[in-house]
Amino acid sequence: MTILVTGGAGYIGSHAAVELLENGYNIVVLDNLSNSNMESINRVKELTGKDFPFYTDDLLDREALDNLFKKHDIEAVMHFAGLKAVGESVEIPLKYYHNNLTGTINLCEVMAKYNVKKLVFSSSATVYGLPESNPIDESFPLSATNPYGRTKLMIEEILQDVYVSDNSWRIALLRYFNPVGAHESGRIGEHPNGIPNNLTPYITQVAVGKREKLAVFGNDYETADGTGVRDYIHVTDLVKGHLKALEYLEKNEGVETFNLGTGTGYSVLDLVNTFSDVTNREIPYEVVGRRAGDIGVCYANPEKAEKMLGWRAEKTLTDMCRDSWKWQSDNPNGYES
Amino acid sequence: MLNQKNGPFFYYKGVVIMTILVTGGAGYIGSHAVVELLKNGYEVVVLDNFANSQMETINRVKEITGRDFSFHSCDLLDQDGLDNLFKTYNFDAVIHLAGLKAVGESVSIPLKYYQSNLTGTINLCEVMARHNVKKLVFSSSATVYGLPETNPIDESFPLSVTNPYGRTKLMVEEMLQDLYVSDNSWHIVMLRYFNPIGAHKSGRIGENPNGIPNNLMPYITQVAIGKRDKLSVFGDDYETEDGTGVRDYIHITDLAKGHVKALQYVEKNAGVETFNLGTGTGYSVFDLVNTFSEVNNVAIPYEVIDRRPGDIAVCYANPEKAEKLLGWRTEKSLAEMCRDSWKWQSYNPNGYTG
Repeated sequence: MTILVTGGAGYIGSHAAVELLENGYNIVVLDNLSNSNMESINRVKELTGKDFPFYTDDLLDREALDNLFKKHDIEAVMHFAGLKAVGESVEIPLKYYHNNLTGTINLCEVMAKYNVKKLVFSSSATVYGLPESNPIDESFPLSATNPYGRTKLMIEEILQDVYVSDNSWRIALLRYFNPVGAHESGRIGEHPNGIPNNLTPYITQVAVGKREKLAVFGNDYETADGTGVRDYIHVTDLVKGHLKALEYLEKNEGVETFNLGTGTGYSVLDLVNTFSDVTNREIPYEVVGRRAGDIGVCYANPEKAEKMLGWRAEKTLTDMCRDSWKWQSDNPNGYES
Repeated sequence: MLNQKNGPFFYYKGVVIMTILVTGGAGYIGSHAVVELLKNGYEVVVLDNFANSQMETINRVKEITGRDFSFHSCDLLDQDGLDNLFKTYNFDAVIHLAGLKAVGESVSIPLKYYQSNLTGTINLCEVMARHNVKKLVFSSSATVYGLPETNPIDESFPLSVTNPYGRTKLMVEEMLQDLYVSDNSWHIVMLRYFNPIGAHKSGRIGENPNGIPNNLMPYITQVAIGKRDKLSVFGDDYETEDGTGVRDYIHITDLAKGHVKALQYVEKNAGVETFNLGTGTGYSVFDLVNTFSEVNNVAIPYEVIDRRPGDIAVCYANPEKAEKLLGWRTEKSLAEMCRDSWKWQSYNPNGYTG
């Protein structure tokens, strides 16, 4: 069975590629490398000892997409490709809408044309907007506070409509909480461009000496230690959830949403302290003002995924910190070293 | 050719003439908007892919106004074609009416609706930004109010939608809001139409639906002309005076004039503003049927059947914001709407193809 992985050179996509290959799937990877590196493809091949076709095409290039489906007998698609920086999405929203919406519409049109109707889509807990309580389950009201989030929410709505129009589609919408960590080998991991938007890459860059200190955005939230609480999930657990979703789609028609989170919230200081303990390194930090749009607490109710997919996260915060650090320390400049 | 790049400025009564791109300019609303723009001294360039419209409309607009204008058969999904158009002309603003609009069809083929309406608008805005054309009037719809809790509806009511067509309108509104936030030099007006009916008073242009009409007035005129047996009235047990659904019908010429006012507004004001375009008065299905019969002296046989899923009882606009900020309000009566709809239908029994 051959799975098309869009965005397969990215952080989550590359880990999914490894997991798919290790579970006996054939894959074809499509990535425009706008925000990722060819080296991650080489490392996935090296890690798994398997080869696979790779295309540097863009989802906006319908002809290339069509050719790919003509050439390969694709059974299902894992769709990770998309722009994902919240701040940038506010600056250049048209680019976000064009890439994420039109890219997905093109993909679905070509899939329908080739009668490929199994799709695992990479959504985000950002679609819960400012949740009123925690843990968050899949029935919570949806809203988005920035263009990036809106692209995720709009695609979820589009895919719901696609299923209503044609019940032979099988679609899983996976709402990620906060993926961190890296493959245990330290060969693939998160490779942010410029200043990291997320906490863990920032911490690892402080630890490796690339940045002076961590800025903690607010310690006056209504949480145990005052810092923001998130549901950090090891990227390996996350991608295992994708394989479970794929197995689910083999048996079930419909469109289903699943939270992929651990169900446990950790604060910024929990993460900093665990990271320090595990790596035996100081992480100098400074508390600064809250960041506009940030919420105090956000963690998943992951029961639906456990019940229907038979999946739950297994790795601990310690595992996440250890593997993030192994990746960063083995690759101080990411894939560019 | 009109107002080509590097050409001379055009003047009309002593003022510089503005050149307006009208997307979907061969459609029902587009053709009437073009007539009003030409009457008000604008130069117009029309873009339409004719997916749901006819070339004959363009000829008739030229005939009604006695003015010539450029016309391009191009799809908004064709970015190169669009870019070339912006290279050829110095547009001052865009009135964006192109889009698919059939609710039922949008449920059957949603990807086509999202591709046409979302990607088409994204392409248009990208090309506009590239050529530094940042004045836009967008054709939205009262459908973005979903199932409103009260009436009249003003622009601050909560937004929601019930079908893919409606979602494309709401999503485009959200994108345009984001676009303005990202670049405050945009001047954007989003017009939420209530229920446009009627036709140009000449009877030369009007609504030309494909297949079975989705809307009440084209259905009534097709019954009147004998193309259909009788009108189906979807429910007479709503909580309204006569039990039938109440809507805010607006004469297409009033609506088109609202676009000219919106254009004048975007010429002067940066920002993104939404305006209802409606009369503020609701009429029931029976009001419309009876007025049509009286004004035109034709019988409209009808049959009351079940409610249509998703229909709401009452929906009419609070049009005060448009009056205050645009200096626009509707002038034409329900009788005029009925008279002009009938004139169009009776002169053109088969629309533009007859």
